[in-house]
Amino acid sequence: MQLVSALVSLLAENLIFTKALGTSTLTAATKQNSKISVMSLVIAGISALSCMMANILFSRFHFSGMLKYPYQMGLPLLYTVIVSVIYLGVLFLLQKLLGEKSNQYKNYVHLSAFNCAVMGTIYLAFAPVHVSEDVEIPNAFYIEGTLYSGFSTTGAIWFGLKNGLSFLVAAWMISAVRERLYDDETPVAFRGFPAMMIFIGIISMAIDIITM
Amino acid sequence: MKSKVNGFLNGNAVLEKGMVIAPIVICCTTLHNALLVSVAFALITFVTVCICQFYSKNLNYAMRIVCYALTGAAMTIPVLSLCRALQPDYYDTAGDMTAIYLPLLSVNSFIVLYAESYFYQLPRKIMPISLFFHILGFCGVACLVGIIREILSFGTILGNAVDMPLLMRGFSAPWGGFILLGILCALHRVIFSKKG
Repeated sequence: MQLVSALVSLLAENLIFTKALGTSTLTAATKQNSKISVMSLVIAGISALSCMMANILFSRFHFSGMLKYPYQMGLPLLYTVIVSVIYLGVLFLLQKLLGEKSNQYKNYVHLSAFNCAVMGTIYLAFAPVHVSEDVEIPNAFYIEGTLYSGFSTTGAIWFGLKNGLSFLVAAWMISAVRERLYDDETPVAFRGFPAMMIFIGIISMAIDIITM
Repeated sequence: MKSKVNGFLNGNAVLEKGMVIAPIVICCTTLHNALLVSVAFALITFVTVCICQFYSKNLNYAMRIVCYALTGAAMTIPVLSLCRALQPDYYDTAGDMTAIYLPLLSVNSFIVLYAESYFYQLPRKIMPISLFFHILGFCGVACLVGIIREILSFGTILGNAVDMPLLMRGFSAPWGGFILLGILCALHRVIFSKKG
């Protein structure tokens, strides 16, 4: 039962179908027929590590003031620095562990690090407070006199991992119909990217109706 | 001249290359939103790509991409502060759009992928012109999607009522954005494949 509810949650809160985050990366990967599973796992890993690092900075090192004054204190820079450190760290580890063989995986890391799926996950988890005061969004911080973190470190890791896995679910769904979308029977005007957009739209509509 | 303006209609980044889809699908539900996204995207992307061309080619690929992303993030701060200063009430209540999607423009595909593989391969005098037309292409699609979705979903343009017999509010949802974008891509392909 828990597995079913986890799967439903991966669909209902899917990054691609409900928030369009990472759609460009997914369509580019599908066009090139890349190993989408490998890429999705890299995205899941980088998202989880990014959320964990952001959570530690906010809860242990008192960076939470940045959420209240995001632009004056450079919140976008902080998130980019976090992803940069992880991106370079992963590349370094790959080089150390695999040597020459690492080249075949480096492209996945290049494609996976700086995109809306990873960066969007951090922004979803830790959104600026001035926005969250008035608008209901699924963020980790609330104002109740003072700022506090709604996530434990493991919660932050799970949030990042879940969004990465939802990317994987979307990638599998699209790769299952990829051949049909690029098929000769598909009208030329719609073949490939336009058909993929409409397919994602229809799945997104179904999820919207189910979760209503 | 043709190669310089490539990217505006022919070779459009959104309709032909499938880049920067998220802000168009989620944010461009009205013309007002589309204009805000267009201004933020244009300022962040143009300045960042122009600055980043001066970074040393001796840096390895990964370090260059990190530098591009950091420059984009640094540019986001003044640009979004400007947007917020211009429309504080609207900005603070626009939800996901201003909390997530506008800051995400700092790592858009133009900056972290296309700059390295396309713009920096062009001669330095031509690059800003080509970049300008690519950005114009994005802004054109954003505004077109914004206008169509505002008319179909709310029966207005910039808040002014338009006589619409039937409203299809679903077009303001993400799925409406995906489907509309798919149809526009197909139309774009039909028009430009005939011309080509």
